[in-house]
Amino acid sequence: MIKLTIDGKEVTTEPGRKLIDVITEIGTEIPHYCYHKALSVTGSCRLCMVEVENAPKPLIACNTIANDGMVVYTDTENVRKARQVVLEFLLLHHPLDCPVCDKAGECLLQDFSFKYGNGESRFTEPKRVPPFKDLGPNIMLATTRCIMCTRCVRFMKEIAGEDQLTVVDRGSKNQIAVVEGKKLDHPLAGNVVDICPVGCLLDKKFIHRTRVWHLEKTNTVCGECSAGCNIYVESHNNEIFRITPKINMFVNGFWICDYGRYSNEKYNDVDRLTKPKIREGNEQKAVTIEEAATAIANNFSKYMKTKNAVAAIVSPGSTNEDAFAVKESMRIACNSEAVTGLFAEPEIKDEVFPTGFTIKGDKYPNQEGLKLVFGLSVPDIDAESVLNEIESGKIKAVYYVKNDLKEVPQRILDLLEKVEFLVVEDIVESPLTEIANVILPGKIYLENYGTFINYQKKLQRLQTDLKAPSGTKSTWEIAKMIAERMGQKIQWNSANDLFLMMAKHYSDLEGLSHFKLGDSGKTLGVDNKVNGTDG
Amino acid sequence: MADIQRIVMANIVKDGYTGSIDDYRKEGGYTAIRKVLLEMKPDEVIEEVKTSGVRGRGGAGFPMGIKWGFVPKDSPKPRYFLNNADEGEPGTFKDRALMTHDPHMVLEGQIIGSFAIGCNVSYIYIRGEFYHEAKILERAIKEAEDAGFLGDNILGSGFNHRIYVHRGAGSYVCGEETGLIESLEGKRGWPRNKPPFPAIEGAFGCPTIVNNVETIANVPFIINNGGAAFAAIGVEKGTGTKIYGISGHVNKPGLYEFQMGITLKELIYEHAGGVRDDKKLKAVIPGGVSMPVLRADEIDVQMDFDSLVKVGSHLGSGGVIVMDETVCMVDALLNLSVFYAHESCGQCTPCREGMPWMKMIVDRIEHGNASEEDIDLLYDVACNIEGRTICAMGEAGAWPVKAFVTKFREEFVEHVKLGRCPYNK
Ligand SMILES: Cc1cc2nc3c(=O)[nH]c(=O)nc-3n(C[C@H](O)[C@H](O)[C@H](O)COP(=O)(O)O)c2cc1C
Ligand code: SF4
Ligand code: SF4
Repeated sequence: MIKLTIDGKEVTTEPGRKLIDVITEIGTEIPHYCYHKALSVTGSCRLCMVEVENAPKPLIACNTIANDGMVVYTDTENVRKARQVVLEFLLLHHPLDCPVCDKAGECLLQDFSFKYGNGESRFTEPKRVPPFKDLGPNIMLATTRCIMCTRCVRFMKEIAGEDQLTVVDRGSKNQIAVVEGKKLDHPLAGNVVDICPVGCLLDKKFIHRTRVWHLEKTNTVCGECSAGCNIYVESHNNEIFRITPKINMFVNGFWICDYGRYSNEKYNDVDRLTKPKIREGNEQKAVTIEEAATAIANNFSKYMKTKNAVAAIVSPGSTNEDAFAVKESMRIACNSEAVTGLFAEPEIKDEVFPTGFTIKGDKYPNQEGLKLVFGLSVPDIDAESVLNEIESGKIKAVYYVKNDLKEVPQRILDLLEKVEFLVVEDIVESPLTEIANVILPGKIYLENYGTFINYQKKLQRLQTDLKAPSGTKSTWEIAKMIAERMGQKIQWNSANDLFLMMAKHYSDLEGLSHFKLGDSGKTLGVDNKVNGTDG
Repeated sequence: MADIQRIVMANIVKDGYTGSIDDYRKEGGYTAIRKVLLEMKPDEVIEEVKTSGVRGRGGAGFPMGIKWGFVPKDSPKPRYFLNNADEGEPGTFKDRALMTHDPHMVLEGQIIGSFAIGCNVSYIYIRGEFYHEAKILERAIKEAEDAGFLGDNILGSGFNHRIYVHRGAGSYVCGEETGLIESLEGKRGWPRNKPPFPAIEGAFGCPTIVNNVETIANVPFIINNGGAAFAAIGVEKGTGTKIYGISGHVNKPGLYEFQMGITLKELIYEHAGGVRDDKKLKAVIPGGVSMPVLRADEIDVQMDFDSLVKVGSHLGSGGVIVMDETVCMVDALLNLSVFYAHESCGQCTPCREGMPWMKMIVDRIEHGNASEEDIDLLYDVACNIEGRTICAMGEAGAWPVKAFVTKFREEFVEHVKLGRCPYNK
């Protein structure tokens, strides 16, 4: 360990670290643009100057290694002057069009100029006005606002692993551009918008749609693959305006992929189921949720005298809590332990990028969770045995929880057609709902509370600010309703209650609660017994 | 020994000298390499160069032997020796002459330097415009290979070495050593932050030495005559000779090699034939356009590293630009400002934004669209760039502005007051 003095405070840290990181960690702001923790250092914005005793002039904190005995000052006259100078230079040609700029409110040029800059411009020459550029399907370049930090270029090279962006021309004519013959269409490309410190790289889907200060930010987990990236869902009046990465160094780092980023679109584009339906002859008739629950209870009661004649199949897109609720109501009310996740081997390969960021081939976010909820406790009941028993006719009634837009394989559809009584909980009409006796309108993960376990066995929490379409219900609510109609008393009233029940039931979850998962989750079998968040 | 006036141009000035390998060998060429490869250890070569006190002729004046000594002895990586032949500094045209007229002296120096740091592949990074010179060097390399001074097991010493010529694409900043390295690696010539210094981590991530053509050309002499003999020439901390490239309003512009310490006045009036048409001298830039300009009354100064620092300038590349009384200093500065604005690589904020801004202000002053505050603004912008950039281009562009404005302020004020250029430029 080494000791250095920062603004009179003694700080201890490991050797070999960048001064900017050491200073930022103690809560002192070092304004900067080009430096990004996950990218190589270019030291080009020249804003992060600090004074180091015995150095002839201020040094950039991003390219200075903290040394033992170093005496550093972050707020001297020289430092303030250096910041002022750099900010003046950066604003010379800036159009100052904050009123129409989407970055306003979260723009570092705005923030630092306000905090460290000069109120007035001494620049009276004509400004450069390079034209805006279209870079790819989702991203444009508001060229006039660029400060040439090159974070985007470095991101594409170092993190995405494909040089889709570059700098063209020279000097003050320097411009970010797409490499000749290419488009900015990499699956990680959207991240360049987030790391652009100014309003230059813009998400075309977000442009001019709202001001960022209107957005409510909820942190949750992406459900589009088993990577379990941490995301912010940013919404206003129940509409998602954008999904952005939430930093979790143990999972996604600083990034998300574009499938996750734009995942809300595909749910927006569909007609959601909002009313329960019951089949009468060839028709499916809309009913109230109570009527639906009663119909389910009546039918399940017919079969439940034989153990495991009623079964439940849960999609691995469901939360642990929902899966557990289904399992519990089956056990308590339906005399059944035939509950399983519909596990699936991924059909496509993982996409792994140079620094390890991975888009998983497994497009279900919670196979690991369902293995825990179902697999471990009843070892001999798995998806295959449930399907076999449907085939053999032992299983007469099935509660199928789906709630995603994925296709159900034909083999399974064929099997389910044989079932005497099929209950389907889903979000849209599909070949599966067509053959259902009862259809229940469910929720998507973006509207849900609960937990997922990603492929690394990281248990993470889902939260939401969104109101699901009226008429839809969480799986745990439906499971509870069915069990209650069948005369059972059910104690859970929220995903949180269910988690606490699970924490008693599964040793892997012992001592945990939603709250204790904190911001970065817990890795099962590693840190669930430890207090606090891991790190 | 101490009255030796020529080292690197000693052959060139001889009648009939063609620069061929035969001519070079007739003048004692390629004897130093024999001595080095067969009799000396790399460390002894470095010691000899340190003893000579020879400092860089590319602009920064860093002692060559000390730089070579920075290469880590225990690094398992290959090392690279780069000969900086980018010669982009306006007013500088000495390296070109050495490469054209005595290429083997440069090659011999480069092979010895490479041996000293344990490098088997070295490069000559030559500016794109020097097409002809690149061809000459390539021919000379071929001659040296055929004569056994390059290739495998040179002179039976076990030392292998190859030299490649790499042509730049015409950027001033690619003469800055780390910009040069990036360019050599095939990237944009964007200078790197230091540390790490090239001697530790340079080309392809390996220890690398960058030296100027003229600096390297001194090496054979140092080996043949000993570092002490070289150190006896010139002045203390400015040992050896220097090529002064005199251009501008003198009667006999050209390259002059003299011992360090000759005065600027002597150079101009006794050797370069004085100011043309007996005009009055107005100003002299002593070391390439990046170095602060001197007024006519400041030229009684010795042309070595330390003496010029004392009068607020630098030896730089030794390119002396002489301006007589017909020159408009604002116009002259405008010319320079256009150059720096054009050549800034644009990587770092102060230089990218500051250079064109200064150009615009100088342009307004020259054309009478400015106020006196603009003169102060100009000076302030230069101060704001200086010391805050990635590479020394920041200083290269800021120093001329500061010196012109300080030393010839009355001319700037005159432009502002008249609302036009008094020289009708
Ligand atoms: C903008 C800029 C341009 C430069 N151009 C050249 C050049 O053309 N030739 C050169 O030898 N050195 C040039 N230099 C200096 C080099 O960075 C370096 O100091 C030099 O090559 C070292 O060699 P020396 O020690 O033998 O002088 C330049 C420096 C700067 C900042
Ligand atoms: S990698 Fe997977 S979890 Fe992460 S954002 Fe993309 S789809 Fe979502
Ligand atoms: S000082 Fe100028 S030339 Fe040097 S890196 Fe910065 S922008 Fe490029």
